[in-house]
Amino acid sequence: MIASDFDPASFEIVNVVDTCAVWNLVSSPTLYNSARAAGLKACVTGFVQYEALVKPRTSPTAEDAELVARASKAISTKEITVHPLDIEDLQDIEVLRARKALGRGELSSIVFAKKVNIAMLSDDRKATTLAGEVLASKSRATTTPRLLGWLLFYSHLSIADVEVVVQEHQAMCRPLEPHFRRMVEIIEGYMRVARGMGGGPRPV
Amino acid sequence: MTFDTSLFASKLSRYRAQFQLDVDDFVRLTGIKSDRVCALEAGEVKPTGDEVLILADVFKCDYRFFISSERVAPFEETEELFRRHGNALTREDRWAIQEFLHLCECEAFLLDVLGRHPSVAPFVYVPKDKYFKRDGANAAKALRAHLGLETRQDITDVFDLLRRLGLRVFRRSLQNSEVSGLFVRHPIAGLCILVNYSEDVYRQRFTAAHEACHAFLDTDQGFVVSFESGSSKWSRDDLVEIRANAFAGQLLLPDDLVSELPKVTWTLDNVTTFANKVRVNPVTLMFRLSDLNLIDEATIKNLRRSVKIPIEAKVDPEIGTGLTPLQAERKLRLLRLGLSAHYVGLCFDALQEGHVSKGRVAEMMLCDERELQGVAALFGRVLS
Repeated sequence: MIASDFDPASFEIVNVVDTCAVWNLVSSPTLYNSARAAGLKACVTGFVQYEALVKPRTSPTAEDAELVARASKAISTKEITVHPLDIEDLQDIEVLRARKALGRGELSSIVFAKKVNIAMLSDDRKATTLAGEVLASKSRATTTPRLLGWLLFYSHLSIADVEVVVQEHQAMCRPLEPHFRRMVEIIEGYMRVARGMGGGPRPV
Repeated sequence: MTFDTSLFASKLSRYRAQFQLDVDDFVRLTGIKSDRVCALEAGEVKPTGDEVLILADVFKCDYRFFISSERVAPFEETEELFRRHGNALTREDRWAIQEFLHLCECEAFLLDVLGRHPSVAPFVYVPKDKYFKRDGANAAKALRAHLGLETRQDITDVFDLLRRLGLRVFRRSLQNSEVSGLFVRHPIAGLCILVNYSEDVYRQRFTAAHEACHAFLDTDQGFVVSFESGSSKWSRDDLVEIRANAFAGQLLLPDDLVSELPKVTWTLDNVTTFANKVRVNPVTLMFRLSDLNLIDEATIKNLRRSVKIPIEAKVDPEIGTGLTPLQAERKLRLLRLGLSAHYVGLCFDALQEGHVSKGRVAEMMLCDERELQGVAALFGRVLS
C-alpha cells in the first residue's frame, strides 16, 4: 500500500474517496480534521454514498454505526460532497474491462476521478494499481497512509499526533495501523534528509 | 453505445415484480426517491450511472445488464421460474435463488482469471430411450464410465465431482423445504445447480446428482425445479423427474455395488448401517435394492416408516473441526448462504494473486469488506 516512490509534494488535495477509504478517513477525527484544515477536498460518488449510508449491512457493529454517523454528518454538511456519474461513464472500455475485478464503489470512484481529472483515494491495492493505470499519473492513485504522510511532512500533524490517530483508528476496528507506522518511518527519513542528517527512507 | 430508456424501464419494473418489491421496499433498498423510481419505470428519465450501479448491487447482476441489450443475466429464466412456481417460492427464496446465480457467475469469472478449467472433458448424453427410468440409469452409467469410475466405486464427494465436470454447484438454504433443488442454465456461468441446504447432507448428495441429470439431459430447458417426493408439487407421472431419480440412484449406488451386498434379510439395523456407509438415506438404498429385486415391497413398506439415520450422524464435512461453538455457528451461516470451502478458496486465491480487490471479494462473498478477515479465519485462510 505504501510505495517507496511516495513524494509528499505530489499529493493532490482534491480526491474522490471509495467506500473503504471513507471509513478509514473518518475513523480518526484527528486525521480527518487535520486533513480538512490542510485543505483536503474529499468527494464521493452517488454509489459510494449509497454503499456507505443506505445499503443494509449484514452484521452491523457499534463501530459501524459510529462510522456511518460520522460519514453521514460529513456528507450532510457537505464536508464530503457527492457527485453523480453518467451512464456513458460506465460504457468506457477500460471501465468495462475492470468491472469484474473491482467492487462497484471502487470502480465508480476510478470512473469519476478519470472523468473530472482528480485523484482517487483508496486503501485497496488492486484498486490503486488499476487507478494508477487509468488516471493521468500514478500519483493520482493515493491512500489514507499517504494522506497521513502528506500531513506529517508539511507539519499539519506531528509525529506525536500519530499515536492519537492510530488509537482512534483502531478504536473503530480499522486495519491500517501497520501502514501508518511505515509511513511515519518514511516521513522521518525524508525529514532527516531535509535537515541534512542523511539516511533516506528505507525502501518498502 | 446508445442507451435504450424504454428497455431499461421495462427491465427495472420487471425485476421489481420478480422480487415482489413495492415502491416503498425499493426506496428503502436503493435510496432512490419514489417519484424518481416512477419516472424511471415510465421511461421518462434516463438513470444516472450511480443508479445503474445501485440496481446492479441490489439485484446482484452485472451492471451491463441495465445498459445494454446483451444477455448477461439469467433474467428471462428467473422471470419464467418465478412466474411458473410463484406459489412455491417465497420472496426470501427468490432472493436466495438470485444470490445463488450471482455466486455462479462469480465462480465462472474466478475460475477463468485463475486459469482453472474443468479437469474432466464435458459430458454429453443424448436421451435415446423412450423408457425414461432406464434412460436415466444408462446416462449415469455413461457418466461413471466417462469419469473412469470403477463399476463398484462409491462417490465420496459428489459436489466436487460435478464441479470437476464444469457444473456450478452451490448448496444454499431455501425457506420452502418442499424444493429440494433446481437447475438453471445461466447465459454466462453455464449449467448451475442449487441444492437446498435445509435438507440433510445425504439428501443433498442425492439432490446434487438428481439436478446433474437435469443439467446434462434437460439442457433445452432454461430451468428445472425439483420438489420433494412427498410434496404436493411432485407427480408420479413426471417422467423427467423419474429419469433424474434413476440417474441419481445409479450414480451414487451403481448396480454392481448394490448387487455385491450380502444377501440378507433386510432389517432396520443393516439397512441403516450400509446406507450410512455409502452416505445415502435408507430409503434411497431400499429403492435401489428394489430395482435389482434384492428386497421385497412388504419389507420396504415395513421399514420405510421407522428407518432413519439420526441427523447428528450425517455430519456436513465442510463444517470442519476445531471451531468454537460460536465459530461453528458463523461458519454454518456462511455455508447456508452457499459459501462453500471451494468457492471461498477461489475468492481468496484471486485476491492473493492480485486479480480482484477486497471490495470485489466482499461483493462476491455477500458480505461487507470488514467481515472478510473473520470469513478468512473460519476457512483457514489469512488475509494479508
